[in-house]
Amino acid sequence: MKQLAETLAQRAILYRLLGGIYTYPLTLEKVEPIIKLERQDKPWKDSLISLQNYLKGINNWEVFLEETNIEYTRLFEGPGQHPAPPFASFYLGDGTVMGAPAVAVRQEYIKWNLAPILIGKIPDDHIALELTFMSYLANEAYLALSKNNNSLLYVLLKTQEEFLNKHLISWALQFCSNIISASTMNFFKNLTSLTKIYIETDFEWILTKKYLKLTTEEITKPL
Amino acid sequence: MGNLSRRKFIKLSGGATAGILMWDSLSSLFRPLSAAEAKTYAAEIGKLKTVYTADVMCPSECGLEMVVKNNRVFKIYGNEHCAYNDGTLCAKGNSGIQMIYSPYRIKSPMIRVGVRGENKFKKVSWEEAMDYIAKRLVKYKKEYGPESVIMDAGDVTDRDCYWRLFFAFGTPNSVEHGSICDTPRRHGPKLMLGGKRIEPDLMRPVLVRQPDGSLKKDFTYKNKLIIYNGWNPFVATRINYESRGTVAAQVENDCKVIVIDPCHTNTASRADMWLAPKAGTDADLFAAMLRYILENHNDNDPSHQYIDWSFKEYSEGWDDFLTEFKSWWNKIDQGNEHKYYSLEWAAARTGLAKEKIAEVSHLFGITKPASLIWGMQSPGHHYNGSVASILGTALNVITGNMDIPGGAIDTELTKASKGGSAKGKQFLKRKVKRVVNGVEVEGTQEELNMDRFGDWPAGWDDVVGDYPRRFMEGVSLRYGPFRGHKYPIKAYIIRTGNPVITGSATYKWQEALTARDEKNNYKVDLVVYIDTPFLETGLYADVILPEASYAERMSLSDIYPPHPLLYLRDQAIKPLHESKTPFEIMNGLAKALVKHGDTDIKAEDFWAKYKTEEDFWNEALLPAPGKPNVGKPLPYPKLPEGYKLLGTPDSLEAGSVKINHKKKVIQGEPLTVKWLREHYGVADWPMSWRRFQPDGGGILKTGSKKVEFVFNKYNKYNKLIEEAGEIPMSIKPLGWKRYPETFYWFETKWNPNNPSYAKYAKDFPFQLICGRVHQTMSATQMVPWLSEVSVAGTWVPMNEEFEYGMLDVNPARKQWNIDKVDPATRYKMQKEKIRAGTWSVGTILINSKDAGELGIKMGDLVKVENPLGKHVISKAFVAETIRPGVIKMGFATGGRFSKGLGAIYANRKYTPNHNELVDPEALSPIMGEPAYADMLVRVSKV
Repeated sequence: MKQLAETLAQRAILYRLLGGIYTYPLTLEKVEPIIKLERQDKPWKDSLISLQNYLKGINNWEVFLEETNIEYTRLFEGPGQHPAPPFASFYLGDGTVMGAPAVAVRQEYIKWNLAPILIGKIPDDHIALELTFMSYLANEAYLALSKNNNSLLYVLLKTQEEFLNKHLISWALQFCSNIISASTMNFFKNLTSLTKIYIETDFEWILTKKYLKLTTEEITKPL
Repeated sequence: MGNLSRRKFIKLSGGATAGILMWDSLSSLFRPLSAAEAKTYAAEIGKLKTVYTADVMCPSECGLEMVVKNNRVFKIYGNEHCAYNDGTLCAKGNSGIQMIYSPYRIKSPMIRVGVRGENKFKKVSWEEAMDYIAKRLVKYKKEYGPESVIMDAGDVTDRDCYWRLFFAFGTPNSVEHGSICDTPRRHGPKLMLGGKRIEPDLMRPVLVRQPDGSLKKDFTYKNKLIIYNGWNPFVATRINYESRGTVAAQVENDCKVIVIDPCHTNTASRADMWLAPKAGTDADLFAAMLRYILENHNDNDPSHQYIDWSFKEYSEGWDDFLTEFKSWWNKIDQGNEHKYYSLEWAAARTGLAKEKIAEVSHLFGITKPASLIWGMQSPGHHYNGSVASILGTALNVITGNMDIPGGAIDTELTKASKGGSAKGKQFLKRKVKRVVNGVEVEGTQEELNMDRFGDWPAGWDDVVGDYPRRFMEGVSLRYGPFRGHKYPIKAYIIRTGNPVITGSATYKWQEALTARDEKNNYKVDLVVYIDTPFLETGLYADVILPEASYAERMSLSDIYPPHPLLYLRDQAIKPLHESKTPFEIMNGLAKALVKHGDTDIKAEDFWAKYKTEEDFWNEALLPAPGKPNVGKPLPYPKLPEGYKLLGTPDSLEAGSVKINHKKKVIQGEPLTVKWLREHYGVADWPMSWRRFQPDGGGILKTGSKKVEFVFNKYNKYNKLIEEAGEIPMSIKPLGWKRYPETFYWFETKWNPNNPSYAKYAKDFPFQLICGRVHQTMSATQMVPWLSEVSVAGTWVPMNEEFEYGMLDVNPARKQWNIDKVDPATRYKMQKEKIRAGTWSVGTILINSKDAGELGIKMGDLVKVENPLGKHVISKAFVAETIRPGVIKMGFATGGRFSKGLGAIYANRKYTPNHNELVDPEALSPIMGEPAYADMLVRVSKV
């Protein structure tokens, strides 16, 4: 159980960190925690180390942040055509934004009594929102576990599986690939490599866990 | 929120927590909902909301019914309550969703970090962007005067917020796209009627007062003949009702339609007669028609009663006009040795058979009601277009066709008034002082205008086409109190326009926007680009501001109806991303200017005066409809005839009015946004005809309130010339010393009929003309739906293979039942190879005979060169649908170098940018607009 709790907390942290980094502007406060993350024996360890090494090699943070924010603008904003629009609808819908995928994730947020602060302005399926929502669910799962609320834990884990399956994983991998091939900055290449592999391995993890197969009787018992 | 507290992080994740303590992104992205809120939000999903609003996918601005679902525009229909488009909507209107939700629209404010043209920007906050702009504007004002700032409000009618701000800031140089587009065609009506756009009486239904006093919708068409000269209403994106009305009049009233155009347009395909003259001969044809009618009119012969002499009751100066016109009749044209305006002369100039010219002249003279309509593809874009539009106006007037049922209507005179004090023109009357040649002089702000007191005294719609030169050379005022005052252009604010592609020669704009001074600073120190899509002009901007799309902002629309008809552009959805409405930008920049020390901007004129968008637009609605209660049938028979009408249609109808007999004003309940929302977004006042009144009480807006065949409107410019003792450089080449008092004549440029250009004809044997492609205006080319539809030889599926992000509707390549697939994962956007010959791109249209002689086959790559050493490359579309000796290109259909345009950018290397071939020095001598349709070229196979 302790291991599960650790994992849930780490997932909450990492999703939250990633969610924050995909919001503009990039600041030192958003980047520093990545450097301090523990390197665990996970499939994404190498990607994390690459990113951390890259960040540790930065001599002038002011210049780095300026260049990174210009590159962020080019990759995710434009102006005009740009390599990686950060919205699910672009990849899963008809090439426009705010499509059915955005409405679908909005419904998920509402189910959990959440609303994007900029609802109606920033599309609900922005990568930062989806990653941060995963962080929220992981956090709630951690809390449910600590309170031995197994039925809620089950629902939360099932929700995460479905959210990954129906939403995040179905487009974020392509989004990351676009950045890896388009960015001229190793920071973004490393960041999106980490994002990609993390989402993939997390999805694998959540699919293979035994508690997703718990019966109704079992979920009423303490883990 | 925040259950995963910082304390717990510390416990659980050791080393990672130090940074987490400093950062909490969750609360900056989401907020918790109460159970009640969540229920409300959930209940909203799937609900439909209808908003009545107006389009701007093209300048037609049709009334729309937008259906909103899940905070997203879900469907767009035509507003059936808006007679302008009567519920109809074209492909462009329907495709608005692709513009609003384009991933490539401008989403955030940005500041340039590379050199101009490099397309390197950094996203910034609104505050940072506003500070950047305001700080510089205040500096320029201090150093060069506010007149060194140009506000160009582009090609959308809702420019009031921007104009107000910049007029208040102190510049008189606030202009719009109409300043560079087809001003010569509007010149005649403006000069003689005080109007602008003569259109056929085709808008139906119209509300008409019945003999029993009731108001009923009238669906009947009275037109018997319409002549469209260089005007293609089935494509041209301006007057919606003309396309459907033309066909309806043909079908329901046996109306005959004649199209005069070197190109067999799609309007020509519905015409009873198509005449294909040489390009640039509109004035020639109109002059010959007028001479024919004058020479062959016979009061006593019903088969030759062309002229309706009643026009003399509501006009003045006809005899002077006639005398001057006739003075040319015995002069010999050295180019063809015929007498001016004779049938033989016109036949030689136009290339049409003289019998055909006589036939058209006779038909126009004898058929009542008729209308002669000229468009932007002809008089609008020729050097001597003002001559043609004067002749065209005269033809409509003397034949008695103006403002009669089924005749010709000057829609500028009939549309409702709007804007009023919200537009801020009152600021132009402020007294200002300048030191000129060491002497302090005083005048009004408007007397600093770069055009009307500079090189284009009669350029009353301003002269955007002349910008590149003035960006390089600065402005020299030559007339009025500030004569001798010089100032540079330091800031150029362009909103919803793309002059680099659509205004004068592209290379001149590029040169002007990248020119540097002796200190290596850009001459035009600040360029601000405000828009929703990202077009070429934006590449040269220092600051980019994302403007809310038309579905996200509020304003008013009224595109040239034959009677007062106003409709609301309402906010269907909130502004997406970080975009702001013009109203928000106005107040935001006003505050920033004050913050940086501007003393002309006052809170009480902006944010303290207008708390909401509605406040602003309510003020703009106050002057509506603003037209006199005149005509037959009288719109409001229970109200005094001739008095100005103000207020809602229902209050005027009910007689809930206050009448000021001294001022002759009838004031009903003021029209408001709220009232419009309660009435499907539309205010529709009654139609009437015969509103040109002998006693001067009608709708004419000339000084005499009559049709003026003597050009009194020029008097004030001639007075300026006399006072200054300097002939405007714009009219000097014509041999004029002042603006003429009545009819005048001069040749167009780059035309073989003009002896000065005949020498080029051997080496450059083709005339180049241009026209709009409905789907592919400068901005809407980023909309894929519209890019896939071909048009009339200038927008044809002749692409080479290219890669493009496309929707794959079956990414798994499996058989599936669409109903069983999750909509969220049904489609996939991915790069696809677009096969050659499957995607429409800009082409040139060339006659098959000409092509045969040059060895050019359909789809061949050709080079089109002009005598100025410029060329474009294009695929050739070979067909019989254009006169031999003439080639045609679409506007802005090729050579497009903004990545924001998607597929058209991918195909830029073999598609033609027409403006690359425009002569930037060939500017209308009256209006200053570039002569877009006057050019000689040669064509060769690449």
